[in-house]
Formats: sequence, C-alpha cells, structure tokens
Amino acid sequence: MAKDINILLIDDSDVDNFINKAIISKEDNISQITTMTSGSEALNYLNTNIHNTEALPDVIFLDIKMPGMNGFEFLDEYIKLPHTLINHCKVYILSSSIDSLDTEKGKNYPVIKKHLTKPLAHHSIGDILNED
Amino acid sequence: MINKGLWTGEVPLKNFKTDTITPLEFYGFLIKDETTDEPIAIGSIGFDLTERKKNQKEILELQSKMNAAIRIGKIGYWDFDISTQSFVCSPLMYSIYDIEPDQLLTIPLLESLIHPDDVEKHRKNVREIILEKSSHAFSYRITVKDGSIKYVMVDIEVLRDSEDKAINFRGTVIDITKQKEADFEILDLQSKMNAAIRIGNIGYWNWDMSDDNIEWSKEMYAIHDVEPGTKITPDLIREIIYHKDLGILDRKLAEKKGQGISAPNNYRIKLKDNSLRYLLSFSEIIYDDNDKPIIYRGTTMDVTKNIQSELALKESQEKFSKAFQTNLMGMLILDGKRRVIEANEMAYTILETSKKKLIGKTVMDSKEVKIDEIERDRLWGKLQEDGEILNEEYKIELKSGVKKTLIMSIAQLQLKDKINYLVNIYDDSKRKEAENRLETQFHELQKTNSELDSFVYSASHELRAPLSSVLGLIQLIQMEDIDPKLFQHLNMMEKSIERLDDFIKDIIEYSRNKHLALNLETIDFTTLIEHSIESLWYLENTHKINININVEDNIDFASDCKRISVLLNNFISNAIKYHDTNKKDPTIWILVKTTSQEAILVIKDNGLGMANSQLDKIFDMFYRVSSKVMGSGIGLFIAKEVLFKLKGTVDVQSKIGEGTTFTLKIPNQIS
Repeated sequence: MAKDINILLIDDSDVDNFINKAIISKEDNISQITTMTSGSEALNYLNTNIHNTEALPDVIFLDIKMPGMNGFEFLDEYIKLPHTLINHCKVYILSSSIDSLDTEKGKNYPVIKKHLTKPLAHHSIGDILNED
Repeated sequence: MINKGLWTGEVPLKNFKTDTITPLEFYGFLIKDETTDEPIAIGSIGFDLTERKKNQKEILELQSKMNAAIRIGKIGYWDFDISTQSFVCSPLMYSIYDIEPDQLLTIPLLESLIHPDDVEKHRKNVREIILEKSSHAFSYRITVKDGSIKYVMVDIEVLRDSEDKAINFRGTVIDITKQKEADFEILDLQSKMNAAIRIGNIGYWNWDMSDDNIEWSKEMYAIHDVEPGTKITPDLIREIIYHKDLGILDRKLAEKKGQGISAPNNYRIKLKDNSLRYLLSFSEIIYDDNDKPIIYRGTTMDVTKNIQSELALKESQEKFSKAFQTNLMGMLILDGKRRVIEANEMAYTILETSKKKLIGKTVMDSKEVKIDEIERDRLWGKLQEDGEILNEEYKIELKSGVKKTLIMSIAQLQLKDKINYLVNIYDDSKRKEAENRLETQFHELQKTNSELDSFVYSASHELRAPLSSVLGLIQLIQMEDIDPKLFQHLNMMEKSIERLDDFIKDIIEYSRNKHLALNLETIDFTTLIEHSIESLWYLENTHKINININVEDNIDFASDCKRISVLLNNFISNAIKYHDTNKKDPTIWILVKTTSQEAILVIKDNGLGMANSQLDKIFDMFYRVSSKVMGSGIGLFIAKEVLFKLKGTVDVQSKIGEGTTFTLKIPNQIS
C-alpha cells in the first residue's frame, strides 16, 4: 500500500491552483494539497517546516512565469535547502510555456523531475504521482 | 623554179584604178600542154594582202607583248570554200603546220594536227563563227611531226551571201609558240627571283593542278610544322588549314581567269599542339588557253608574331578603355606636370565638376577642389619614391563645401613615350555612409528580431495560460455529476479551445523554426518518440490504436533535437487523429533507421488514407484534408519548413481506406 502523498502547488494564478488542486484531489492516496501563489511564499513555507517531515511535500508542481520570483529563481534558492528536504521532494515544472528555451533552461536544474505543459488534465496524473 | 612548176612570192602591186599600192602574195604555177606536157604558160593567183596587213595590226595591238620580228615571218594566210570544202593556203601555212607543200590541207588533216584537248574548242569556235560572227580570233595548240607543241593564233573572217549564209572563211595563222614560251619563262624567272628576294621565313610552293603534284620549299615545311619530305597533297593542305579559314582557299581556287584578287591572303593553320599560326600568302593561278587553272603557286610567310602582338595590343587597348569608363571608380590621367588630360564620368561625379573645368589644368589650378597642400606634397613625394601610391586616404573639400574622404591610388602610365599618371579615386565617404547605414539597419533588424522572439515568447505564455485554465475548468466540471446535455456542450467547448491552443502552439513552433539556429546533438529516437506519444495521451484515438515502434539507431545520428521532435509530433499526431478506429486492428508503425549519411523515419498507418489529388496539397499552409478532424492546417506546413531547415526530404504514399506512409530522410550531421 503506497504511502499517502503530500502535494505543494506553486502558481501565481489562483484559478490554476484551484483547477489543479481539484484535479489532483480526484486521485487516490492524496493526504494534503497546499497551494502557494509565489515562489517566496513557498520558500517560507518550506523553511518553516524544514524539520517537520510530516508537513513537507512529496511532490511540488512549479509554474515558471510568475511575478516577482519566477520558477527558476525559486529553484536557485530551493537547491540551497538541506539535502534531506531536496531528496524528499520531487519537483515537476507545470507551465503553459511550450517554449523550448524554457525546457533547455530546465535541463540546468537536475532537481526537476519533468517538464509538464498545462493543462494538467492532459497528463496521466496517477502515473506521475506513482513515479519513483 | 620552172622545173619545180610551183612558186610563191610576196610583192606589192600597184592598183591601176585606185593608184594605190596593194600588198600582194602570189602563187605561181606552170601551165603545161596536155598532150606534149610542155610548159606553155605561167599562171598565177594573187592574194590581196590588205586585209591580212590590217589583221596583222590588230593582232599586234592584241598581243602587245609579242615580238613583232618573230611574228611577221610566221603569219600564214588561208582561204576555205565551204561549198567545195577546199583550203587554199599561203606557203607559210605549210611551214607553220609543218606539212609538205604539196599536201592537200583538209579539215580532217587540220583536226589531226590540233592538240586533242583543243579540237573541241576549235570546232566550237568555227561553229559559232558560221552562225553569228563575222570575225573572231582564238588560239589553240597543234602537234607537229617531231611531237613538239606549237601555239598558234588564228584570226578568221567570214564571207556571207545575200541570204547571210556563210560561203567562205579566210584568215591568218600566227605561230605564237615562242611568245608563249617567253611568257612562261618570264613568269618562271619572276617567281624564282621573288623567291630569291624573300629570304628567311618565306616558303615557296607550286601546285600543279593537272596531277595535284605539290612542291614545297623547305621553309614551307618549317612554317607548317610538317616533317620535311612529307608528301604534300591537297587533302593534307585542307587538314592543315584551320577549318574556319578553308573558305579562303576555296574562294581562291574558284577564281576565274581575270578576276583574280591580287590582295594577299591572311589565313590560319592549326598546329599539332592545337595552337593557331597566322600566315600571309601571295599567290597566283596560271591558266591554260582554255582558261582552265593549271598551276597554283605562291609564297607564304609566318606572321603569327605580328598578328599576336597586334591582337594583344588591340585587346589591352580595349580593356583599358573599358576599365577607364567604369562607373565604380573615378579615373584621371595626368601628364608629367600633373595636368588632367583625361578623366571618366565617375571622376567628374566624385569631384562635382565637369570636363570643361578640369581638362588641361591641374586639379589644384582648376579651383574645383580644395586640397591640403602639405598632404598633396607628401603623396607626390611618395609617388616619386615608390613609383606608385596604393589606397591612400585623401581628404578633399569641394567647391560646394562638401568634405570627402577619397581612397586614392596612382600608377605611372606610359602613353606615347611620355610618363603620365593614372589616378584612381574612390569616394570613401559614400562607402562609410553605406557602412553606417548598413550597421544601423542591421541593429534595427536585430532589434526587430529579438522583439519578435520576445513577442512570440510572451504570446506562447500569455495566450496559452488562460486557455489552459479554461480547459482545466471544463475538465473539472465534467468530473462532477452533471446533466449529460451540459457534458456534451462542455465537450464541444473543450474541442474548440484545444483547437485554438494547438494553433497557437503551431504558430510558436513555426516562428521558432524560422528564427533559431540549428542546435546539433545526438538524437535518442526512442525517448523522443515516447515523449511525443505521451504528449498525445489526451487525444481520444490514442488509446484505441496499437503503436508499433522499431528503432535501429546504433549508428549515432546528430541533428536538431527540438526540430526532430516537432517532426515526430506532427506526423504521429496526424497518424493518430486521422486514424480509422472502426477498423479491426488500427495500428501505427514508427520505424527509424540511422546510417552514417542519414536517418530514415517511416510513420505508417492503416487509417483513412488520402486521394492522390490531396497529396500535393497537404504540405500547403492552412490546407485541411477533413473537417471532421480538429486542426488548423498548419502542422504539415511546419513539418515541411522544419525539413527544409534540416535539409531533409519527405515522401508520402497513400491510398483511401488503406492508410498512409510518410518516409522522412534527414541528413546525419555527426562530425
């Protein structure tokens, strides 16, 4: 029996956060879905819960284009976090950009598990969540 | 004389009636008694020689070169009666024709004496004279007893009756053999003398046209680069002469007597090494009495060097004048005192002046251009020292106040043994202007390009973001327990939005393909194909079709990964969208094989298929095969553009109801 999954959504669009949360919540084994509307907010959240393994997300869906701190800038800070945290989380880019430059740039961040293009419903969420 | 019974003589007699002296040739004979055979009287026939003397004068005029002394003793006189076919001849006739005085001269005998080649001409002349002429002079050859040939000239006159019928011929015969021989001798001597005078590279040749025997002097062999001693034939000559100049020989040979063009001929011959040699030839044709050419002879000399230097001179003159009139550069020719003696239009344009204001003056004195004198002296000194000036910058100020930077070169130019200077000027201000303009344009273009890229980038996000939100919402609503009719409508809405979304994706891909340079890397086809199929997961058909993948990419293949993936996405999504899921076993085959030259990609389906008439159009922008399938009609157009960028090709085979096969060949860019 797979462990329940804790999910963090980072997207500046409340609408998208709402949709993605709704779609993911249809899946089994989801214990918690947290939404953040900016990179800095998400960093704060992670830093606060750094020792609280229960609260830490197993999967992060990250948008790229956000006002203030964008997705890559978030990752620049994220990788400075303790290894225990980084190893715990799987990071997926979930963006509406199909720009190959973004994909290329993403290759510089080994922590990125995969680059997904919105809408999330076009992807098999079950497969993603059960990936190792 | 009495004993001989026959004698002749020539005496002038006085005509009693007219009291004039008439030259007379008489023919005396003894009249004997028929029974006793004793001479009883002397008979005589006298010929009035007046006519003959007249003829003699005409002939003299006609044959001015003839030696009169030789001739006078050799004129024979004759009379022929047509009705009796009998000749009466003066004694000299016998000696000219070398026949016995008692021999009876008849036409057959005469014709037997005439040279066989001339018999027909003789007959023709006689016929003509009977029919229409009253007098005629012509010459022919006769063969005498010892076999030698004599040339005789005959002058005939015809007597006609009241009905204009010829009844009698008479005329004179002159032996002109000596004169003919003298003519030949003189000609021969002349040619020999000519040959002797023309020493050095002058060849002498003699072509006997009766037997095509051609003699060449040793110079001829040298001139024509032919092994000395080689037998020369007319065919060989035709071979030697450059084919374009054979006409000169043909024209010369076709000449009729009297129309000979005395001008020397220039013609070319082709040597063994295929080079051409220019020859100058003086020639003449000797004709026989029938005006038939018998000898063609002349002299030939090699004038290649003269011709070549002439050609070279002409060519360089032409080149110079063409180069001078170029409109790329201003050119001036200055004399030793720096006065302008010639300038081209461009020079006037650059210096904003005219011919009138410049020619004959130094540029300085013309006051058309202000020149820094120190700079002028520096360059002049450099010219004297180095002999030339090459691409020096030279600042001038024109009368109009315009300042220009010229690029100037000066070289010495020898014209008519005088030192002149060829000055090239190039208006660098214009070039600099153009350079600046080009640079500005380049920057503007770069800015436009980057703006466009940035616009496309923004569009890709800003246009797609709200669309994907809407799509997400639709899917969310459809997950709820809703009215089936509402579900249906939402489904249609979703399709429309997906179509718009696809179109935006296509436009972005097209723009990216246009602007981004190739980014080469080794291609992992299996992963690319898997990603592609994964991205098409949302398509309804995807789950109903078997996808059969066979990749043989053991040989490394390098290309632009993003573009290859665009190609795969396009062809695979088409194969899925246009499939016929009602078929028993809907399948798509994706085959890849790499070689060191190329990668062959085959995307094959057993779907709907297309008609031949559609195949030509599927790569056109906005062409759509079917309205049943959602699409913008831009996918294959982009595929074609991408293939063009990758220098690849695509081939399509299709049959309605059976399916379609696309075969792509993409060159391997591995280094």
